[in-house]
Amino acid sequence: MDKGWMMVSEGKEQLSNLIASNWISERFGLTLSKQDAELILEERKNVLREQRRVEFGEGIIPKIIYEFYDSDYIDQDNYRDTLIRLQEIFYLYKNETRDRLTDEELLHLMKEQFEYQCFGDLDELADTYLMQAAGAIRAGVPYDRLIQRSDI
Amino acid sequence: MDEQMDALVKIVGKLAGKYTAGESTSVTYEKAEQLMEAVLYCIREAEETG
Repeated sequence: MDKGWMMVSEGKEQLSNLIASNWISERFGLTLSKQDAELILEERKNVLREQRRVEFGEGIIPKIIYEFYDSDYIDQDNYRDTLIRLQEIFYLYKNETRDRLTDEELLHLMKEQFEYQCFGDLDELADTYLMQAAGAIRAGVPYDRLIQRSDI
Repeated sequence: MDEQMDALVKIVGKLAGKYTAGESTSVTYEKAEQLMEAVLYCIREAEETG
């Protein structure tokens, strides 16, 4: 069977969901324009293809927004690009943790480390902290221990 | 995507939701392929016995 079906995209519905997330983030001065949302969804397709994953339903981006909108390190100037990078990092580490973490657990770990260990440095988050955390998860370290460690 | 394929993908999406217990919005290509094969197998069986 042709594998084209794996490039699932709900287009318009996802676009409106993403723009609707402004209602919560705008309290923190963060909004996405239609063009921003379109670019994020385009990048989503690319990263899913790169990471060889298929996504169903409303997707991960609204969940990323709800987890990160109150970050001290995200402002309107870097909002769109930070979301694009965070979704890249998210799918990479869904694979690197062998799907052993739920979406919520991985997002929470990313947020904790982004805020309190990396102080908003996305490269450090991806290349150092999450790489170590993923190694620990693969070696069988329980998720709760990682979170406790990152709270120190 | 034609209507038939659209319907198949929706079923695979529902199965993926059950497989991840609703805790992941995405699965690997390999898992998605296995789920699609399971759906196609059931359809073939139903056609043959139906």
